Amino acid sequence: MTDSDQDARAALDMVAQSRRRATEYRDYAAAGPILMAWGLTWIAANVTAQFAPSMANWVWMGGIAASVLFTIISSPQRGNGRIIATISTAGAFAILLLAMIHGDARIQNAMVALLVAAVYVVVGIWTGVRLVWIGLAVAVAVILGWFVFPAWLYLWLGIGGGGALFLSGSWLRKA
Amino acid sequence: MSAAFNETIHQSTRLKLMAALDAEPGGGALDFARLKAISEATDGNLGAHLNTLDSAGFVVIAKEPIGKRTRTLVAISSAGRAAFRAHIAYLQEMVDAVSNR
Repeated sequence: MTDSDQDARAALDMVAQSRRRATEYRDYAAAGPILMAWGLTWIAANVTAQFAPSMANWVWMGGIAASVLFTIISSPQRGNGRIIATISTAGAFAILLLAMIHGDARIQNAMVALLVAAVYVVVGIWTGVRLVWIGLAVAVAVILGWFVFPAWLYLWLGIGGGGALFLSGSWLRKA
Repeated sequence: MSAAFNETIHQSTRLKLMAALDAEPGGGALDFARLKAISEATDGNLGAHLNTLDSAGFVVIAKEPIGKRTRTLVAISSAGRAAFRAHIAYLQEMVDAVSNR
């Protein structure tokens, strides 16, 4: 028997914490393949932009369409209105941003990459700290590419940003 | 549901394990690595607690071969779910009784 109501309260807190952790790990495992899909899109599109710029838009469109579809199908949070609202707001902001700063594909690419990083941080604040670290890793990759390797920005965004997403997805999948 | 204290479940690591397994939708199984991360137990400690829960009929343990290794999958049994929820109800009644005084 429990000795006191404090003992019972502590046990209930432990139960609540274990349930939260179980949910968090389940969401991580489900989010892993989604991040890997987006990472592959980033890698393919940016590497194409670096070496065959005329083909890059087609790769982006195909990759984004496939990744969005995959995200919708496999997202554990698809019923979570707060997450959907956050991602929709970021998507609308990205489209407006691209429309307003058209002409410089490098700036567009870097801005959208930073926006995606920020979305990961914000979603991570609400769902699990690992996404915060992934968002920060992607942001660091983008900033490094912009300031340190400007001549190879696309390649850096692909390998650094996309690679960070892919590896992070692999890390989450094993959670 | 009737509230009932359960000595086997009340031990802290086993309480964490049962909470995690009960939270799995559709009574799905969790693997050993995930349970270890959630419970923060060592391999040996976790194995011993899972055996205790298995002996009590509260969990079902399955071994799944993956190449040369074996993956251990654990799911809550219907008896385990009933005992866990009765135990939670007991704890909640204790807390509520003090709150309502």
